[in-house]
Amino acid sequence: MMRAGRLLNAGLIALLMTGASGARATVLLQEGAATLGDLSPIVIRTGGGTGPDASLEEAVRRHARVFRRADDPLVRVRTLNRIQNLQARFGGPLGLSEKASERLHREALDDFETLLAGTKGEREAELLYEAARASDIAGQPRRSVGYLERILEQHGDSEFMAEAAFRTGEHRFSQGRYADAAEAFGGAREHGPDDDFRNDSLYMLGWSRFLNDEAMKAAGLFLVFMDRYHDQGTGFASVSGKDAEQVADAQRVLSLIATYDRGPETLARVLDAHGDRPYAATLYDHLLRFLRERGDHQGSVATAEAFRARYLDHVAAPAMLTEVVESWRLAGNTERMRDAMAEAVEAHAEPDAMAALDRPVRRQVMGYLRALGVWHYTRGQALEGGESRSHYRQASQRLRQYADRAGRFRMEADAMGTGAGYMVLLAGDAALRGGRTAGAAGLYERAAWSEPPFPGAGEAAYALVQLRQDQWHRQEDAESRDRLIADARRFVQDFPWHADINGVRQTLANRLYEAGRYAEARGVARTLVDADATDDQRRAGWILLGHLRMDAEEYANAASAWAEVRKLTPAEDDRMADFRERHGLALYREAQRLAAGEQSEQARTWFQKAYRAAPGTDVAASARYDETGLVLELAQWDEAIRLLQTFRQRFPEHDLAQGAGERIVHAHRQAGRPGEAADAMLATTPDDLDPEERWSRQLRAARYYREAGRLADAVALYERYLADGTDHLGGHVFQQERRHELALMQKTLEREEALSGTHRAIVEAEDGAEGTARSARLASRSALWLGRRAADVFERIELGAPLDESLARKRDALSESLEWFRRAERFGIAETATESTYRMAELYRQLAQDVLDSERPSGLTDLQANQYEMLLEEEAYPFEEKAIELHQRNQQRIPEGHWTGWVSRSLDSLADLFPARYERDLQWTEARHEAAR
Amino acid sequence: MAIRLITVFVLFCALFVPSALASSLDRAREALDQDTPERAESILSENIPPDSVSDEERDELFFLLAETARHYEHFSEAGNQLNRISDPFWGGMGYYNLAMAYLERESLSRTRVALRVVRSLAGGDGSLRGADLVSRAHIAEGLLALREDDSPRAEQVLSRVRTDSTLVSEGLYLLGIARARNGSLHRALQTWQRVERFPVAWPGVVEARLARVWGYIESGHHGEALTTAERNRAYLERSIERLDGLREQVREHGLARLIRSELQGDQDLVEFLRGSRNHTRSPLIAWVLEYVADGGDPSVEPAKLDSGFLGFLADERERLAGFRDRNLRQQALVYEQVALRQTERPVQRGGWE
Repeated sequence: MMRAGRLLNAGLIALLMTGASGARATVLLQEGAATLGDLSPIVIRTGGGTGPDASLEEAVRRHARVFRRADDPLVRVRTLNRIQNLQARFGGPLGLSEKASERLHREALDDFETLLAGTKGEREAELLYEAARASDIAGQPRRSVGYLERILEQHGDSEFMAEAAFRTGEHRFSQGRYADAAEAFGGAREHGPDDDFRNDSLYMLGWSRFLNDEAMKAAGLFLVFMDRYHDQGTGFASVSGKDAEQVADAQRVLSLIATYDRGPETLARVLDAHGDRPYAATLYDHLLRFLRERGDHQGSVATAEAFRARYLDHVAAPAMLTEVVESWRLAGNTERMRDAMAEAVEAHAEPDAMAALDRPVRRQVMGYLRALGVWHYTRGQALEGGESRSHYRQASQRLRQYADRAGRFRMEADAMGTGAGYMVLLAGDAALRGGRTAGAAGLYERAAWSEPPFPGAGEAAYALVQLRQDQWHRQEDAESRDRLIADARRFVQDFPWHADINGVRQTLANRLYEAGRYAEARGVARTLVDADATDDQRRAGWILLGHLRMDAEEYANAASAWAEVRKLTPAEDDRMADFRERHGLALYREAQRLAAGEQSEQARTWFQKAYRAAPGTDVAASARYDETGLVLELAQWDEAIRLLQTFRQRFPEHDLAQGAGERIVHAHRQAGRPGEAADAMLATTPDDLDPEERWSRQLRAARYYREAGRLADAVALYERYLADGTDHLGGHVFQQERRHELALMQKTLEREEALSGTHRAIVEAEDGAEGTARSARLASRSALWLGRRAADVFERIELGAPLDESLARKRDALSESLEWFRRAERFGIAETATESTYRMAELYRQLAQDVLDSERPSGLTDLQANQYEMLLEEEAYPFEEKAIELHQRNQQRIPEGHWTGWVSRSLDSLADLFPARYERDLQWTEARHEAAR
Repeated sequence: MAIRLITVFVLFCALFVPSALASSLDRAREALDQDTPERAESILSENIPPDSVSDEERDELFFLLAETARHYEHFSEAGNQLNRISDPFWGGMGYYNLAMAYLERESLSRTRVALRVVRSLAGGDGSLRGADLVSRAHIAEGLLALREDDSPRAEQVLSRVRTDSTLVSEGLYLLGIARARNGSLHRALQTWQRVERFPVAWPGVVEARLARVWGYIESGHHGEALTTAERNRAYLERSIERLDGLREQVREHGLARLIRSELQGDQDLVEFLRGSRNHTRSPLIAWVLEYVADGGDPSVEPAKLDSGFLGFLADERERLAGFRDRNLRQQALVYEQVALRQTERPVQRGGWE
């Protein structure tokens, strides 16, 4: 304790102070601070760390320790109050055992007695109240009630009075003394400090009356009790917590009272006796639920119907219909439940009737629509034929009704977890299965696009697309296709997340392609291949892109598309060959494009790609073939030949194989190897070639042989032609030329007999033929050559004895030669005619000379010799004459302008035969000829 | 602070140098001490010829006459006697006692006047003892102001208490209260914190410790409050244990012998007391000083001295035990508050179920 006020022992202090030295030493607070006010603040830290952990249990235990250590009754009672407060707030003995808590309160009872002994007035009432509570906790209820009754007796105006009465009532109530309890609760109700307390008292009073078998009184009290909580606007909705429990309890008691008697009839009697209440519907509702909970579904239905009968126009009357449905449902009588649902639906399904309903009821009626629709749907699924379709149609109707209402009463629909959309979708399914395709389409469309967005909208749209596809499959006309396109397009635009989106994209792309809407088709296909689609779907997209790009002549891109197609196609797929060929074709077209643009190297690369892409196909063949064309253009002859030879090996039956052969020939020729060219040409001649073409190729080959100097090979081909081919190739003139060429080659080869034969053939072929000047010339030359050859024989025959014999041979030779010369002359070619004439004349002249120079027979006499000489001259003379005549014929050709060397030589011969005449003529003739030039 | 040292010094002079003064004043003082003012009055009025005494003895005579008059509640007469004293310190002492007498009778305005006179007289003394008396007057004034809910005034006068006063710990405690009431709770906590360094025997030391717990609670630092309360508990347990030990030692060896042994052999007492650490480290000296300040007479024979000192210590033990119980309650309350703050359990319906 402070002792500031104590008196000073003046004598002692004075003694101590007197003569004191200046020693100063104890606790130095702060240097230079003379007074407390001079001290500067010291630093203290607060708020650091988390602080010690503390539990409520330990707090109670600490208070208990304080309680036990304290001697002062007031301290002990206050400490006990703290313990009680904690226990009351958090429940249980809290850190103490039940027994310890009881013991603590028991120990405090003496303290209360001590304090009560010296206390009066309101404080006494408070202590009595606390002592009552402590006694109660200490397990001494009788003592507790004793304290409370002291309050009732001695402190009637105390603030503890009402609670004391209430607790006394509770005590009596617990003892089953309901009449006494009612008396106490009545007092509490009268003295209660507030409405809350008075209501509690009223509530307990009602219970006391009820248990005291005063049912009607109790019912009246509970109605009064409920009146206090009922609000005209919100009913009992705003009541909460303990009050709500008590109001519910009051309703339960009323239901009990009714149930113990005649059910709804008793409830009506209570209301008649105590006056109707605005919350009568709540009471009926409670009763029907109460009965329902007890399994009395008939009673529950009867209660709902009783209410509807008593309050026909009551706002809660429709709700009772729903309760009937619920009761039948709980009773397991589904048929009656559906009947009740149908009744409710019929009564309220019209939009205006629906609008008039309370929201919860409306929600239920909506639910009935939905449930009935779904039920019919499942029946449709279970049944077959006409029955099934009938159910489906009813389902469609109910569900559509639901959806129609859901648009207006959206909150109710939302509360059911699914909006109208699903129902419209289901209605669409039902319509479709009920055979109403057009209706189904409309419903699907509505579900997908007209209803507020919902998760099943995509399904609806997809169903519509499928429906459209089915229609298109059946009709296959432009109109159904356009509808399919339109709906599929909307689907892919609005539901890109749908699981079947890529299937629809595939369909859409194909239909767009078929409709010639290539740009759109391309866009959709592009999306498809970029999407997370299946391999088949992506392949379909790539196929379409391949076609589209080919059509657009974007061959490189098309090739990419087809390459993707191939990647996505299993090797064993039947279509693989086709895809390969298309791939190759795209590559080939690109190569062609590049080639046309004179980008040969690139083109060649693309041809090679095409060749590799589609091995064994026409495309590969064309690619390889065209590649060789490029190589030829690049003058890479050997490379071209190699490629062409492999081509022919790889594609021996291909149409282009022939061309390849030609190209090989061409390459050899260009490479300066005409012989090889001819060989190739012959080797590549097809067996079934047209004869004309065949002989033509042979002659060309022969020509190449000639160029290569391989004359024997050429001659063989000519001879074969002239033997077998003239009927197939060429006319007379053409053949005469070939014979002529053959003759030239035979001449070079010095094949005399063959040459002779050829000349003969030429001459004979020309005879009677409608030749040309050229063929005539050739023939006349051949005849000339034959004539010369016979003349050579003629000259080699020497006339001897017997002259007749040798002369005859000579004459034969002459005759043959003359014949050939005459034939040559007949062809009317000046050059050969003059030579022939000349040579014939010279033959005659030679013959005459030979006659004159022939060996004379030996042993002739002079006369004989003269006669023989004369005979010889006679013999020779005609020949001379003939020779002159022929030379003169040549001479006569001069005026015709046919002045050749042979004419000159004839003139020379004439001059030799008639020198006087013909030398002059010759001069004259030559002068004239010169003058004519 | 020097006053305490001087007191001890003079105390020992008295113990070891028996007084030759056996004057009437002694007897009169003894009579007053024994609450027999009529006898003191008789002694003072009959046996002491005023002319035969020195100035000092005369001042003491008037002082004792004033005390006598005060005992009879003749406050006006007491004032007259005090006015005759020439030494202002003695006069101030008399007026201080007079102020306390007014205070006991709830005559607050007269108390204030008397304390003003104390300050006036003692302040003019110019000595250390005068300054200490002024501080004592400030403390009394501070208390008075706190009683009258004039905490600004209380803070003002308590701030003037000298730091070398014998009542500095009490002054700090009260100053903390005044500051707390003025809304400077943190400042109050800082003020109370300073008191921790003083011996438990000194007034205001334990109170300041308990006040700190309160201060922390009020400032919302429940953790610190609980920690401080638990430290206080250990401190009080330890202090009580030491006090019990000291009582045993006094019974066994006697106070005089214990004091001599505190001197540590031949060491001069004054030199011993000069060492502040010795002073604060010696609970015995602190208790003895407090015993003397509480009115204990060190000049009586040893057996009587021991008896008186043991009785004082018994009272002190009871005082500390009281503080310990208060601390225990405080600790429980703080703990409860910390626990309530930490709990996440839902609160149930209150009241008596």
